[in-house]
Amino acid sequence: MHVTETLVRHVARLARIELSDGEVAAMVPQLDRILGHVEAVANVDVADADPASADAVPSAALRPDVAAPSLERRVVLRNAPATDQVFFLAPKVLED
Amino acid sequence: MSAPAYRVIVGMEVHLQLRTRTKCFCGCLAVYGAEPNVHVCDVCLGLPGALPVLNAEALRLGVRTGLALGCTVARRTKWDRKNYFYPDLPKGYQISQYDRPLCTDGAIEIDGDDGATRRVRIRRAHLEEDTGKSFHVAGTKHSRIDLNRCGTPLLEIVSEPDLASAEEAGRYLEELRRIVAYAGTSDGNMQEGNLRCEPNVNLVYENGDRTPIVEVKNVNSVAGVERAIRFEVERQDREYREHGRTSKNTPRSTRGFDDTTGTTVHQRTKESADDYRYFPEPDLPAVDVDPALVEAERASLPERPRTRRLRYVQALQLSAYDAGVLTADRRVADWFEAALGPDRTAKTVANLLTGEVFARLNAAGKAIDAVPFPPARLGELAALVDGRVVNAPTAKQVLKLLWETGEAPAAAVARLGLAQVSDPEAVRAACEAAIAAEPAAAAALKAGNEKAGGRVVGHAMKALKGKGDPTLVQRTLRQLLGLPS
Ligand SMILES: [Zn+2]
Repeated sequence: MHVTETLVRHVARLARIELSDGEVAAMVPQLDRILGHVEAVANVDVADADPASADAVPSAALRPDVAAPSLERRVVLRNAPATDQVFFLAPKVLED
Repeated sequence: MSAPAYRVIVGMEVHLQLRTRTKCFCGCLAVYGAEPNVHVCDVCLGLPGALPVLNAEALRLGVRTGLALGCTVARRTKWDRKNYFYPDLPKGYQISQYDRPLCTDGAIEIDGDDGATRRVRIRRAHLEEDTGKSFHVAGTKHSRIDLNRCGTPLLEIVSEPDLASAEEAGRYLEELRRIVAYAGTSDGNMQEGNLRCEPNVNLVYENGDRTPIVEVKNVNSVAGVERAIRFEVERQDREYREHGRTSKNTPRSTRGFDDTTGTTVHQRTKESADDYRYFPEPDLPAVDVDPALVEAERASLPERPRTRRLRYVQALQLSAYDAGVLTADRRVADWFEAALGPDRTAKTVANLLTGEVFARLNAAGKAIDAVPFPPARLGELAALVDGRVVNAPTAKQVLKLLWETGEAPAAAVARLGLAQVSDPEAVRAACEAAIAAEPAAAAALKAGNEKAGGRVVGHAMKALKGKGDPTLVQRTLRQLLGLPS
């Protein structure tokens, strides 16, 4: 895979990360190198392997539908930047 | 104006909340209408270190719904992360299924606009978790977020674009709702958001041109779906004719339905395909679906509501309307069938049930399980009607006793002497008296005025204390007046 500035800007937008032009330029060779290392994995022969097989569990061993305690609302809201003690408050979403 | 030279093409995406006690990947209660943010835990919030664990019941209900929709259930199914940012999605991704969905390749049948059966293919049905809810606070710059719904199990059911009109889309949705209600896997209540749908709409013209596909969001009722699609059809046709907009020069888009105006409003353009960067969920193992589970669910599925409705028309000779009313709710259909028997017709049982019984239930705002007697008792009453032991007004009186005191129909008829008068001599005497008492009406009836005959019949019935066999009374009167019977 060849990393381009366009790809870096696209991924940054998806991740909601703001990058300056300089940062984008610096990212291109860095990401390219990282992906180059990862690509070694692509050379492994996996023709016979089912990617979902490694650790599949039988459906009979799943969690029974039994309630467990939830957190107290005070605790749920504790780390939020803004609340009214009942709801989380978030900036209104603007459609693009 | 000439007939429109286009075909309407609609596909539906439906999100169905499965009826579990707890959420899909944690033990928080999955309930509607609770105080905000009280059924939330570290898994719901996606806190570091929190691990999701699949709810067996969510999988079972997903399998059962898939089978009810005629799908094939995967032997092995896996989980993927669908990444996007939204305030009601605290993890920044939704656990969903991308390339190994739980169910594929189903179909359901509806009545097509041409009266023929239309088969609507189901491409896939996969499990995923629901998001929280956000409410915009008017006059402020922020939204309130309630995460109670976060992690509630959903089955996303994706149809092929096999629907050809707004009405077919409405019927598809109603049939889907009945199927899941029959299967018992979801409440299917659109008001409470158990069942949410997003129609995909476009038009294909005879010359091969296609309008760009529009996905409509915020539709909250069957009527809303139909209105939204009708609006889209007109709007897209206008855009094509006036501005030449086709799928070749205009991107797909998402529009929101406004229920108050019946219009759709542009939300966003899909310049490129949605980019959710799906990747396998590392926190959840794949699941091998036990074939015994699949077979047990398949074996316990009820007859499909549409099959049952058609059977009522064909085998039981009920009207399409009665069949529709009786099969709308599985409990009603079960109750009705429990009242059937060899000595009574389905039609009479249906009439008593949808007439008197429903009237009493409706007046009390109650459902079928509130009927204070077993179905067999209504069947006994129907047998008395069909055997012409009682006439319709008497049946109503007997039903009242049955409802209020539980007295068996045959016992009530015997105790109160309610059996209808079928003795030819007694009926003849009553009819003769009626003709003598109502000479003008009798003459009019003789002259062919059937309506005037009502007075004479009424008089005869009164003489028989309301218990006269109506068919015999009619026939005797006509004989006495020299009319063909
Ligand atoms: Zn939870």
